[in-house]
Amino acid sequence: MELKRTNKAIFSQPVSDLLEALSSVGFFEESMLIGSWVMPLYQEFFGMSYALRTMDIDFAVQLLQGERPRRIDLQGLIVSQGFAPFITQSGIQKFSREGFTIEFIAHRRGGRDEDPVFVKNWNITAIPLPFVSIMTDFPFMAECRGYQIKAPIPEAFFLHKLITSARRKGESKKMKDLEQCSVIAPGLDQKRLEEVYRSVRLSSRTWDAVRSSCETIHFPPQNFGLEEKRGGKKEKGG
Amino acid sequence: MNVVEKDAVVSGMLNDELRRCEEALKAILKALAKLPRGSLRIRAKLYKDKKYEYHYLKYRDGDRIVNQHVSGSDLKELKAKLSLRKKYEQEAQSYEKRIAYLKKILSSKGNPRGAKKDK
Repeated sequence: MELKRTNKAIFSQPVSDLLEALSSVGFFEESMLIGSWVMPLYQEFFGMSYALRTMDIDFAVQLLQGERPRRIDLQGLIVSQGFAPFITQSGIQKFSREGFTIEFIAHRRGGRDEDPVFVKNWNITAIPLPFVSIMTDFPFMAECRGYQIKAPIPEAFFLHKLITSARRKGESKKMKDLEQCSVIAPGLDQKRLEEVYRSVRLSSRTWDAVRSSCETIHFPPQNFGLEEKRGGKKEKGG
Repeated sequence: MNVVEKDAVVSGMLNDELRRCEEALKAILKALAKLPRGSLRIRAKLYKDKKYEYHYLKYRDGDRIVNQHVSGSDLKELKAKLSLRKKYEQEAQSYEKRIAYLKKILSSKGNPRGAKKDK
């Protein structure tokens, strides 16, 4: 997707410094910003306004096969930005500065192995989670004050949120996901949404979850090619 | 979404934020416990018109003050650890403040710890 430019300071100083540093080493060539911190980008570039934001900054990293020509010590880079590294009780590597925490996520291809994976080329560990590739497969680049950030297009973020919200065990995160979806929904581009949902291969159970999330936020499931519920049976249309 | 749902989203986020801060604080305090305490001092001594400098780590151990000699070879590593300790202390302080603030907000909402736990 095309590059968009802005001279506005979209992010607060520590976040902006971090993103600029990551951009300078080519991190966003393969990886992207995800989580609630994409919302300021959506507000700036797509007019989708959502004020609530958590203090954890999530990045999706691509697990590349084979050796990458260059290796970057991302851990060292993040520490040089004033972040302190720490490992949580569940073994997840995070970085903290002034209450902000950084976390890396990777796409999990099936299975239930939730152990963090070491990303050799970046010298960091990432948590493998399912459906992350929906976002990493549909990126857009944003140029903010001289540096570039990659983030998922809203349509991919939207589908990902609809799926994950239905899989949440607790209500609060589920509601937050759905609220973000309801904010994004009016600004979605149907053509791009079609591109996203036609490219992903999801089980009928997952499509049921999408439909159920759509119903909660009053978003027509037909926009995903999902047919109307008939006699309690949910079907995926063309 | 209606106001009640919105309010639930906000209080849910505050509870999640409280848990995130507590988790981070716990991990940071654990890391902090493994790092040396005290401050690095330099002691200068004159011997036969020559000035010699010795580094030592000064810290409190209960009632007594300990001055522990630091060899030149350990100096770089110790400096890095002390600097990391300072960073962790700052972070811990920031989380402690945030936790106190969040608890105050949540209790004033009549929800001292949030109704539900989720991850």
